[in-house]
Amino acid sequence: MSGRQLSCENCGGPLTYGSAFCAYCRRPQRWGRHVAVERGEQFFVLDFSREPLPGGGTATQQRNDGALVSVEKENWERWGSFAPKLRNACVAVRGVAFDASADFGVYARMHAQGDAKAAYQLKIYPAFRSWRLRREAWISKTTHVSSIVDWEFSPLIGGVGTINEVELRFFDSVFQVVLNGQNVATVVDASFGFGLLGWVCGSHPGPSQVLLQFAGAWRAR
Amino acid sequence: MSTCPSCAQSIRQNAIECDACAVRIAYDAHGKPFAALPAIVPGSVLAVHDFGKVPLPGMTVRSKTWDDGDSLAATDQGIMLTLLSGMRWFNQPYLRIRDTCVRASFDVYDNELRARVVVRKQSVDDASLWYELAVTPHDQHYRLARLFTAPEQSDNTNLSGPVAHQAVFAKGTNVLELRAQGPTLEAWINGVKVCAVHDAALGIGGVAIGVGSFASGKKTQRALFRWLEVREVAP
Repeated sequence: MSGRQLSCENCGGPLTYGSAFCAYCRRPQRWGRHVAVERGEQFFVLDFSREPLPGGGTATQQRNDGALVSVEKENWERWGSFAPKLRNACVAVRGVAFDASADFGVYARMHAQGDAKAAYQLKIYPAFRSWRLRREAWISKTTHVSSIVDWEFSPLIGGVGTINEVELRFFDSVFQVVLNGQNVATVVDASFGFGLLGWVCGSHPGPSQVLLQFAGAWRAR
Repeated sequence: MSTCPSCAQSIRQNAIECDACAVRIAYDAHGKPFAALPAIVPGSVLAVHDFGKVPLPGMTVRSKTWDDGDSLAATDQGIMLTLLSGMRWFNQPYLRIRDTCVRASFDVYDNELRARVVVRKQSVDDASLWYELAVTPHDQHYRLARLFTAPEQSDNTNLSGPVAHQAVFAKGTNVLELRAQGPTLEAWINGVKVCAVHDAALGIGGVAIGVGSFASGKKTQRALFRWLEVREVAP
């Protein structure tokens, strides 16, 4: 079963994953065990050697091989968002961690309640070839998190100084973590359903630098 | 190019669904797009709490006084909450659910109290997010909103209202119902549908009822909780 089938065969109406019936035509639905979310039509592709990194600000230096993001403090993050707001999409960033403190990844479904924001965050930590997926909610400078998958080793992740591509594919409540082009995990989580996409670079025991080369978003199908 | 009536982003000409927020789109006689929202029909009962007999959700007793002076008093009609300031929540502890219809009955006796029913209340560490239908009976206003609260700050995004509506009774018992099915939310007050919106931000969470005082300083505010009913959504 593919993400394409998250629409009703009878009326074409959008379905929520696992729903017992179509909300529009009321036809009962049956669900298979697997949903594969694939990249469809492109929403945008940004090459950071040519285009500015949205939200990068003064901490970012544009070079001929990408945008160098410096995270000056330990246990800190820099992030930015990409329009449009989306419910279903595939979002990817490609980058290189320059030191053992650096991690990077993507945000999805970042939405606001007044000044507060909530989102999914997928990150890789190349020094330990590990990844994690979590929910975040933040206001001012305080961030609250709940882990979906905590730091987990994957042999698909390259170490410090190598190029890694981090991608999150999501359709309704189905999330697929794709690292360097290979599917690593599928998670079902309905917590957040709509919002902006984004990039994030972070630091662990000390300041870090990440070269972000590329970001892209595609329709999920 | 037209814009989506729900998320205000661009849509393709004659699109039947917004590529961004996935709302289904229909067109009026003038070709203007509008969000075609499915009806939400209450189905089988999942839980009923008659507060004339049982404690409020998440509580083990019907009468109680907290250290800050707030209290619950059991009556034949329900449970009377006396609130001095802030908010009190009563979360149904077992129903983390996507699609549901939650209905509750309240009497609000004082002017600076807001009563609410809540769906999709979820926690991220010690922050919470939820949808609520709230009324302030004294001015007959209702509001459907998405809220965030954390120890350091709270904030909200209004989805409908706050606005006066004659379905809200200024005195006596109000029955509030919040229905959620996928990204569609419907607010009903005393059997009248007051609004329907498409908002996909929160997809799952718990059920709760609550009241909050917006009086400045400490001032006694009272509300009677009569009953709470949680239903599935029917096909």
